[in-house]
Parts: sequence; C-alpha cells; structure tokens
Amino acid sequence: MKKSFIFIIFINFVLYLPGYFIHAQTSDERANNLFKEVRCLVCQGQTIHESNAELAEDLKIIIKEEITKGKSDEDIKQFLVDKYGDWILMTPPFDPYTYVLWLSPAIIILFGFGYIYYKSRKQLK
Amino acid sequence: MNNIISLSGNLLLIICLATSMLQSLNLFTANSYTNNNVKLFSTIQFTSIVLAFLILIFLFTQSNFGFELVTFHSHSEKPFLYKISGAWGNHEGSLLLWILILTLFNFLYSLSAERDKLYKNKVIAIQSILIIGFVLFSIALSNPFTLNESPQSEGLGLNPILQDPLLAIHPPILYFGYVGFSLVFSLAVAGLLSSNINNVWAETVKSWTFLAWTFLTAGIALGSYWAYYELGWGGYWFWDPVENASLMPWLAATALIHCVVVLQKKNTMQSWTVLLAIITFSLSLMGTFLVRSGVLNSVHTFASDPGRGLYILSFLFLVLITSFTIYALKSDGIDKENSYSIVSRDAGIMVNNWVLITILFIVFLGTIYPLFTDLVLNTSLTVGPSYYVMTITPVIIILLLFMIISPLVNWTAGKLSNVIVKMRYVLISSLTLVLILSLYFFLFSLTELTIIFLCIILILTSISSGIIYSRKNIIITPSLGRTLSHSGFGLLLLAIVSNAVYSEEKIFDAKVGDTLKLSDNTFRFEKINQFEKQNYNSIQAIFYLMDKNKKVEKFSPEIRFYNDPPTITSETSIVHRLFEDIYIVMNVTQATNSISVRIHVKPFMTFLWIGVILIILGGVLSVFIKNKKINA
Repeated sequence: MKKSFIFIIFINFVLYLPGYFIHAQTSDERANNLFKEVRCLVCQGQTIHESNAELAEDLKIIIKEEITKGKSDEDIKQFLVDKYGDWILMTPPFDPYTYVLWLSPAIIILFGFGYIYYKSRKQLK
Repeated sequence: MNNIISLSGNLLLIICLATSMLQSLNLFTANSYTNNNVKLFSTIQFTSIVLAFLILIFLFTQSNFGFELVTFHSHSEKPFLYKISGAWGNHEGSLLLWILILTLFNFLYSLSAERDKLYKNKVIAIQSILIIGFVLFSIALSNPFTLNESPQSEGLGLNPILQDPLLAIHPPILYFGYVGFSLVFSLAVAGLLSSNINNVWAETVKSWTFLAWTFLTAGIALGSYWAYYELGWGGYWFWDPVENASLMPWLAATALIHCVVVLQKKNTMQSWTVLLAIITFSLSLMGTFLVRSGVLNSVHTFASDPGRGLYILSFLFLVLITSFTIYALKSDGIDKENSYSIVSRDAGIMVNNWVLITILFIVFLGTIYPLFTDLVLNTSLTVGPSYYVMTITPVIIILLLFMIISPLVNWTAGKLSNVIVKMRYVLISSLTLVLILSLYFFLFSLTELTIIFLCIILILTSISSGIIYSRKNIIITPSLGRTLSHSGFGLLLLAIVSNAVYSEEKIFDAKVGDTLKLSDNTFRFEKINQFEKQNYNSIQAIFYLMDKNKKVEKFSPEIRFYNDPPTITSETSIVHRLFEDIYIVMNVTQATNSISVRIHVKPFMTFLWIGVILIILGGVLSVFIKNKKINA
C-alpha cells in the first residue's frame, strides 16, 4: 500500500515534466501573445488585442513586421517601451519604481504566517 | 403637477432623514420615546424611501421629461423594461436604490428577535446614521427629483451597452451585497460599544453576513457574465478597477464569514472578526466612491462631479475614523484566550484568512499603484491582468492546500498523519486523474497541474465531508453549505485554469458563403440580415457550426446602430455546450465587401458558471443552517 503510493507520486512527477518543455510557438501565436501584452493607446484600459481602433491596428502591423524581421519578444517589447514608455506594456517592469509592487505581497504574507506560527508556539508553552 | 411630484419626492426623503435622526438619538440617550418606537420608526424610514423610489420608477415609465434625471437617462422609445431599470441606471437613481436597501436591512433587523433590546436599538441607531449620511447626499448633491428649467420634449437615452436584462438586475443584487454589510458593520460597532462580542453575537451576525456575502457573490458573478457576453472580448474578468472594487469587499467578506463561524463555534478571534466587519463595509463604501466619483473611468461611471466625489470621500473618512477609533478604544481585551497548535483547524482558518487578506492587498495595490506612480513618481505604468495572475497564483496554491487540510484537522490541536489517513482514497484517485490528464494533454505547466491536482482533491474531500455514505443510508452533514461552496470554488478554479490554457481564438475576414476553420470546428457564413427595431438598426451575420454537411449550431452575431444616444454596439453570439463555449463576435470595420469576425472557442465555461452557482448555493444554505457550538 505504502509502496504503491510512493510509486504513484513518483510517476506523477516524472509525467509533470513534459509541461516544462514549452512547445514551439507559431509566429501567429507569438503575435497574439504580444498583442495581449500591449496596451491600446487610445482606448480605456484595453489591449490592442481587444481593440479595433486604428492606432491599435497600426501597432499590430508593426509588431507582425518585427516578428518577420526575426526579432525576439523581448526586443519588440523594448522597442515599444523606448517609443512609448513603460505604460505601453500591460505587465509592469521590475525596477526600483516597482519593487514595492512586486515584492510587498510576499512580505505581507510571510509576516502574517510568522505571526500565526509565533502565537501558536507561545500559547502552547 | 410636476412641482407637486418633485415636492413630495423631496418630502419623503426629508421624512426619512428626520426619522433617522430620531433613531440615531438612541446611541446617546436612554430617551424612552425613541427607544420604545424603534420598530415604528424603522417602518417609516423604509416606507418613505419605498414610496420615493416608486415615484422615480413611475416618472421613468411615464417618460416624464419635466425631470432632469429622466431627460438625461431615458428616451420615450426605449423598451419598457429599460425604462424601469433606467431609474437606477444612473447616479442619482442608484443612490436612491442604495438608500432603499439600507433602510430595508434596517427594517428587517428591527423585526428580528433580539434579546438585548438596548443593543438592538444601538445597532439601528448606527444604521440610521449611515442612512442620514446618504439621504443628505441625495437631497443636497444628487437629487433625483430635480425639475428641468424648461420642459423637454425628448430624453437623451440610456447608454445601449447598459440596455440589457442582466444589467437591469445586476446593480440591485450587487447593492444588496454591499449594503448588507452596512448592517454587519452596525452590528459590529454596536457590539463594541456594548462590549458584547461573543458567540451569541456571532450567531445573529452569521445569518446577515452570509446573506450579504451571497448577494455580493451573485452580484459580482452577474457582472462578470454580463462582461463576458456584452463586451465581446471573450473574457469574463478583466481586472478592471471597477471589478476590483467589488472584489475587495468580497475577499474581506469571505475572510469574515469564516471568522464569524469560528467565533460562534469556539468563542475566539473576537477583535479580528470585528475588524473584518468594519473593513468589509469600508471597502464597500470605497467601492462606491471609486465607481461613482469618476476617479476611475469606465462604463460604470455615471457622473464626474467633484462635489459628489468630495462628499463620498469625506463620508468614507468619517466612517473610517469613527469606527476605527471606537475599535481602538473598545477592542482591548475582548479576545478570549485561545491556545492552538500550528496543526489545527484554528491555525488553518487563520492562515487562509491571511491569504485572503494578502490577495485583497494585491488587488488594492494593483488598482492604486498606477495612480500612485502617476502622481508621486511622475511615471506612467500599466498594471495589467498578468500582474494579478503572477502574484496571486502562488498564494492561491497555499489557499487550496489549507482549504483541503483545515476541515480535516481537529480544532485546537490535530495530527497531520490523521489527515493523510482520512484523505488516502481521495489522494490516490486524484493523483491518478491528474496522471491521466497529464498524459492526455501535454500543454499544462507544473503550476497548472499543481492547481488542477489540488482542485480535484478539494472537490473530492469537500464532497466526502458533506455527504457521508454508509451501507444503509446517505447522511447529509451540517457542513453541506461548506461542501457546496468549497467544491464550487474548486470547480471554478479548475475551469479558470483549463480555460486559460485551452482557449482559442482567431479573426477572420469573411464573405458570404465562406467556410472558416478554427481547430476542429468548421463554420459556414450563411448570410447577412438587416433589420430595424424599436430603438436601433441592426446588421446580423448568420453562421453555422458544421458537422460534415449538417448544420449543428446557429450563430447570429450583430452590430447594432442605436439612435439615442447614437452608439454602435457589437452583440456577441454564444453557444454554450457542455465542454466548451463557442463565441462569435463581429468587428466594426470600414470594409464593404467582407466582414471581420472573431471566433473564440472557450472550454469549460459551463463548469465555471456551475462552480459559481455552487458557491452561491452554499452561501444560501449557510444563512439558514445553525452550527453547533463546540467546546474547546
């Protein structure tokens, strides 16, 4: 019983592994994923993926061209940021301006867990 | 005639204001007149607002353009249902609806049996103070009964995107949730003032909390479903500031319902429970402020009037400062000593409480951070959905883990080995299921598989703890509410993850007669219809999902051209099937010889909504189920 149990867990972890290998994306999929990352400049909080505005369509064409030129996703994003600023990307970058944004959730949760653990030890004594 | 109507509307508001002032006196004096007539006064408060609200609806159904509000938000050619819902599809009307529900909860509570009469009067006094705040706002700054200076012959109409049957009921239900927490707030503050926060208090509070929570859940779900089919972007949650504003009180409220149950069963966690009650209502108020003030721009913003924003903001601060001062002064020493081991249900609930608060913090931070960088750091950035997904995912895994373990551990001190023994069948069967899944679909990443695995375990353990089979009969335990909500949550998350992984979409330029292909599905573009309706013209494209040469499903996405106000909307056409939704939406383009359509295949959407419905049903059950007290 115990052995078969461990075996099943082991098999599962081996089988999780394929998920690690990201399957090769077609350029259409790449373009679509990038569209979801790029904010539409003239719309209310939409990405260019969701928008049909003229400016959004223009950006889509630019991105597709950059992909055919063989640029990586990172290059394209950097190109857009240089041109329009951080604002254009849906995901904020990780830099001194956003340390608080990215790191504080971890600090908050650890603080709370620490407190709960501390209280449980203190009261049992 | 209009003068008389306007006058009587205002008079009703003033009657409510005056009665509320009388009621609020009970907080300060032991005046026998006000103390003995609480039921009567609460009835007057409620009735006067009901009448005022009915007058407003009447004005809208009559398309009485002598009134400003009707002129700005209605139109004589609007369908009857939307004339009625137009009454609360605007700032002034929705505020009156808010007050209506405030007084309704006040009225319902005044009818309830409460042993401690002095305490009950205090609750109603606090509730009445809230009513005063809102009624003053309505009379002075958002008067729904203002007359036009010169009579108008026609109205400007209601935003067509809001002309939707779901959206007619979405605000009332959401408000039932938001405002329901006003009573929980009043109960908490009065409890602090009377120093009676204990398990008896929790018993009363529990039903009201679950009631408000259930409505809030349903309200958010309705809004999400509306966004899914109306906005036409294929998504159901956009992390839009307005959505976040409703999610924040929900997260606090979810933590609260668990604490109320702990307090009732074990008589511990007093101060934390009260704090959550105050926070939940404050967040509801803040949600209203964010949505109504125009700080955030979205379809929900009806008016951007700085005076109104300022009023709500000051009111919010007043409520916050007063309640937190009372909390600071009165919460000392209300906690009963509670010892617990780190392996116990107590600890598990505390951990998940904190997880919910962390998610709340993330949502709050993500919502205000762009404002903050704009104003303080002078840089603009966007906090999009991926921020929330990245930060919340690890936290959700912790949440799921403890949702699984906590209900299986004993209170105070438990053993982990017992849990594993209890879970052994569930564990083996879910591992096998995940094994099959991971063999079958190679697309999942480790994180996705972990969440799916935990969701399956959660569903199975929840079901097995709620319904016990024995040879002879099936026993339904009192934790059935939890069973439904928790398994619903598991199902919801399962659907969200697999939907995110497997959704497909493609944009086509199509001519009549074309065949379109998306993964395994073949669609035929049959024809285009044009027609006129009461308040719009429409172009409709007819598509069929084909199986060989048979038409299986029909789709009819539309583009509508509304007259008043002139607006173009795109109506999606969705076919719900058991394992996937197929979703077609037309884009508005300039092209003349072809149309642009977007087709989405969205798997497991049906399960997503079933999950939500289970969560709500669990809430409904919990309003009525009485928990047993346990002795620690």
